[in-house]
Amino acid sequence: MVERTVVVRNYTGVHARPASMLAELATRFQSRVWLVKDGQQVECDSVLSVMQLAAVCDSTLVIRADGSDEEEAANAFEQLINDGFGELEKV
Amino acid sequence: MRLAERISPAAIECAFRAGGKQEAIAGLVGMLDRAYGPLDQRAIVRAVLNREELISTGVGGGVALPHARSEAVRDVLVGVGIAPAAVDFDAQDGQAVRIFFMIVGPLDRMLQRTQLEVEARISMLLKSEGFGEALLGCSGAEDVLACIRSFETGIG
Repeated sequence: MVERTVVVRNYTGVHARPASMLAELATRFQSRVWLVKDGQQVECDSVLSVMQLAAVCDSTLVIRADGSDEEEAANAFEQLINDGFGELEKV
Repeated sequence: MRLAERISPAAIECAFRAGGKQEAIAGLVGMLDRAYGPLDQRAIVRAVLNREELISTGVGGGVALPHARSEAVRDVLVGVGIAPAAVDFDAQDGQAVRIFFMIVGPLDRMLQRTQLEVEARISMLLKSEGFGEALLGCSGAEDVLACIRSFETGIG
């Protein structure tokens, strides 16, 4: 199991589209991936699961990945969140 | 936050009908307009369709959460459509949609949090065992609100 701590950087937070991107990303790895915010943990297996976090801009999230490709999965999640889901240029 | 308190009964339609995605979005925006308006419906429809182009908000399991942020609204507005006949919505799992939650919020940063909380609340309800089935069994707006209230007590 690996863990990474990231901060949500895009202005609109983890709304439905970022949640869809996270859920889609999870399907590319064999590992299971979870996100934790303020002690609430959800598995990144569906859009609805991820959206339950209500992670606004500047929220701190912990990425937890567990499986044979956990390093790659954690790296990919870290990068997607750090990149603000491609929304950093938008207001 | 209690979701049931944020939804006007006038923004709930249990006999929601639409021939496709565009018509569904226009219909849902029309419901918001009647419940909370007058609103600039064209601007909102455009914003919602733009959002859909990025990725369908048909999140699977016969559920869609079309949403947008728009200058045309001053608060986070929520509408619910329950379609007796499933609507082709280009959903992520290809399944036609019977349950629509539409969320339109302003650009105001202070209300971004409210919008995310509304989305999170709806997600929690939709993940609750039996909620979707219960919604599909509702016959009127007050029924839907009672259903949401009852499941909201379950998620705290």
